[in-house]
Amino acid sequence: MSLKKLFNFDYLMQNIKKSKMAVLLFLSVVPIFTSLLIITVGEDLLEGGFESLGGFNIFFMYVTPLILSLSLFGYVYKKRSADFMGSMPISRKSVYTTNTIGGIILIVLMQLITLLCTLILFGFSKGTIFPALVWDIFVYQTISYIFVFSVCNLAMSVSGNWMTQIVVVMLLFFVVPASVMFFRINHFYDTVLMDGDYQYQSTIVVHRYFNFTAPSLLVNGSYFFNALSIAKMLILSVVYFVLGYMAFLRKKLENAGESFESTNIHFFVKGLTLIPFAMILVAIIDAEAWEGVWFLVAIVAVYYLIYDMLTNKKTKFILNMGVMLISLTMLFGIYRIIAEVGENVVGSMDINDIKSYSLRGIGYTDFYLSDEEITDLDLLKKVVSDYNDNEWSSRFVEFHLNLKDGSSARLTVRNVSEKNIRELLSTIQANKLPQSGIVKSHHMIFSKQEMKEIIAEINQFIETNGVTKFYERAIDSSKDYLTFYAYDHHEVISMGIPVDLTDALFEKVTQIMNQRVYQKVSKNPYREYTLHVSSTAIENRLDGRGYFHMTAPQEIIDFILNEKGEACHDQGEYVVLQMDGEYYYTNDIDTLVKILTPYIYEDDYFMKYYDTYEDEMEYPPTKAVLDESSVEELEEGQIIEDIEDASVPVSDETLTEPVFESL
Amino acid sequence: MIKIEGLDKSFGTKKVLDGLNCNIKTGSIYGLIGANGAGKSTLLRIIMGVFQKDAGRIEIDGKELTDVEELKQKLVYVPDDLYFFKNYTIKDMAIFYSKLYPNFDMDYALKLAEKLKLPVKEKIQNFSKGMKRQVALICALATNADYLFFDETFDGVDPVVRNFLKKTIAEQMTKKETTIIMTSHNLRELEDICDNLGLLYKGGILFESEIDSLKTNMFKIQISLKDNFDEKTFQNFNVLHFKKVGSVATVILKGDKEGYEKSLQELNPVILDFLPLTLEEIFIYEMGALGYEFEEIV
Repeated sequence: MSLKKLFNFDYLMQNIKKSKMAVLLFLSVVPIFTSLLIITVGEDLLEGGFESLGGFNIFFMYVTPLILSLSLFGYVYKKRSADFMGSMPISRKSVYTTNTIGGIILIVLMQLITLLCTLILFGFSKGTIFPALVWDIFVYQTISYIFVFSVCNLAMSVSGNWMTQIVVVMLLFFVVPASVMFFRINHFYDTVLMDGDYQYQSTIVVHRYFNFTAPSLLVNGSYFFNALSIAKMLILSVVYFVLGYMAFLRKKLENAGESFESTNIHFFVKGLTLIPFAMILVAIIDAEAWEGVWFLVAIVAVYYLIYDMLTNKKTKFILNMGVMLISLTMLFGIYRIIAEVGENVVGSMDINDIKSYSLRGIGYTDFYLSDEEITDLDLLKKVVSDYNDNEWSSRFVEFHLNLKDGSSARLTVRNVSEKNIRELLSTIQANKLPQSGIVKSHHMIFSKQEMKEIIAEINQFIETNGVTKFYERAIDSSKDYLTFYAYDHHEVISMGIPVDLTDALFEKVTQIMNQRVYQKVSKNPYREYTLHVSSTAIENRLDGRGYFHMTAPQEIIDFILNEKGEACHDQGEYVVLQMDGEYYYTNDIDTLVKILTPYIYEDDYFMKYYDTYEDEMEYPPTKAVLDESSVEELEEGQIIEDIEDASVPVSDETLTEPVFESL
Repeated sequence: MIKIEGLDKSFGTKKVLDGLNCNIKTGSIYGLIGANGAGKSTLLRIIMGVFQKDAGRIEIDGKELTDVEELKQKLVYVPDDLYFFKNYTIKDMAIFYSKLYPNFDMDYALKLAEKLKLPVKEKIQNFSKGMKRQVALICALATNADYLFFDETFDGVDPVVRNFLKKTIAEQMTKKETTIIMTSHNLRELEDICDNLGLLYKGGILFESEIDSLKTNMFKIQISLKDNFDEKTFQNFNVLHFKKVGSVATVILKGDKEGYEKSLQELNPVILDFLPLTLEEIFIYEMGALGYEFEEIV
């Protein structure tokens, strides 16, 4: 077949011309809206990945290629247009390939316009974004749109009307992901970590990520640039193109307007749409809510009748209902078995299947680490073997795992003590992993030498990773450190720098923080305040209440601020105080208990249990910590600029001890 | 030339075309008649590649008709239920055709539109049924395709325009050796333009003939003899139909007109008039001769 026969430009232009309004909208509205979406989401993209683009992006990803497919191929659904277009001197082969290639060109064009709009809009805004990230968004979105388009075209080839096409598209997208999710929800979601025959303790949890194709991936995961998903989409696009092509050559245009020529296929496809109902039925029957069964069956019966009306297929009522009951019963059986298997099968993953890993976070502390990939498996084995105990702790260590089969997982090692976290960090440091970028938080005490090393690493990180500027999060009152971001190898690398590293920077940020705290207090008449205690002994001294959530009396605030985070809280008994999402540690239990006692025993008004906290929203306002007049002059943009101005290079000369008095 | 052999097509369990055979000569106007649902449109759609045949073979100029552009450019189709793109004008449609038919004559199309007083810049969707039909025929004629397929050709067109279009179609055929296949359920619509006629019945061509041959071989007389007479009086003639009212009989005869005239004169008729036969009458009596009731077929 010659190139001309594969791609008939004249035909494509005429086909586009007849749908010029749709194409115009396609090339203008979607790019403008998507680029505005990217700009609006802005720096949240760095935290949330593509998922932060939200439902609109997913909606566009479903709907736009579908509209494009309908614009190019929609003639097949009406007898009149099928007669007219089908009789034109262009072969079906050429029609399919021309429309597919043309659609892909339009998608690429649309994404290029989006890319251009995004870059232009970023040029006008002061947001932080990486061109490489915008490029990755372009690549991912383009491939996703092409994939969805190929699915829509395959669905068109086998369907007799657009309603059926949508049903087939939805089935192609969701049957597999929904079934996998259903299976994994039943305890297969998390797997155990093995080393040969040895199973690590249950406190070590492996969470396998889904590598679905888009848009399902965007619903179920928050990857930035999932290479496996992209590869799947590319391969499936080709497979769907070939299948769609073959089906289109055999397509019977005489069935235009009717769902499928074959009633059996109509029933089969309609039956597959009962999968969500079958899943619900499994849940209903498991809960023994028998009245729900009849209600569901009634809904499905009505749905079956409506489905026939919408897809324009006449079937006999008795046959329809009979097939409905059989389909629902069969699907219920299948999904009940899946649920049963899911409940009984314990997933496992061998540690030796890990290709590389990176330390993603240490819960309950303020460490931020770079995402450098580590390939030393022995180190990981040591970590999961040594730093796992049965002592209660909300601390955990989290790794991102890249597996040899190309998939990825999240490994969470729970119940890690503060002491062991330090040991882990020392181990990592001792291994001299490049760019490990361990950063001190003002709550963790490092030696001077350690801090020097850290600062050197920070400076090197900034230099080598081309970190642009710090993130607005620095002025988030819940975190008083600056977060730097780099985008490398399709991943965001983040690094937090405590604001107390430089006098100037700290002063500025503290000033802004104070103003922010005031703003928050003004809006919210109470402060969040929780206590976590390390032992039952302290719990007993606090009236048996180990976990509190209450308004913060000034005495508590003063106590926290005076602590300066200097207590060596991993030695002996300690209390963790949380205020506005920030954690403070103290070993000075006696003073704390003394402060708290009147509130516990004498004035219950200020003290509430955590579990009833949500119902007790009418707390009296806490005293403002700042003078109101200084806040009024502030504007959001000014705050960001102020911080940017204060962002001087970090060096050990400027290092001082944390200063919190100004809070 | 179009040669169709053993063409089958079913819709579900219903067989619409059943081993259809047909030959359509180049440079002729072939009229395909049949009742509603006889399969006329289906046959055209199969030839045009809209529908796919279940079995059989279609040849165009000696080559098997396949889904190949070069072959399809020889054919153009005006369906019974017309379709135009939304918001398109005559010129837009003409441009569309010109992009797919390399021999499309834009000037010819626009001139024809002008002659028919069709507003070229107005949206076709606002046109009447007859005007839309005219646009479709103009575009089809301007393609200069070798084979033109018109389904229910003049549906909705007023008599004046109809005559004009018939004349234009005939000119096109004569000038460019075009072969035109027209379908209708109304025989009168085709009789003054077609060279050949085929009657589609129960999935096959029941009857196929040149119109001239039909008209020369069959004739109607009104006759009255001095003596009493009945059908037996004409036993030496091939009588297709005999009806006597009073002393005058109307007789349809099939055979050599000149020879019959001589023999009839020998009967010393008081009245002997040769009357023109309409195509419908010819079909009625031909079908009757084959054992079919024409009214049941068409």
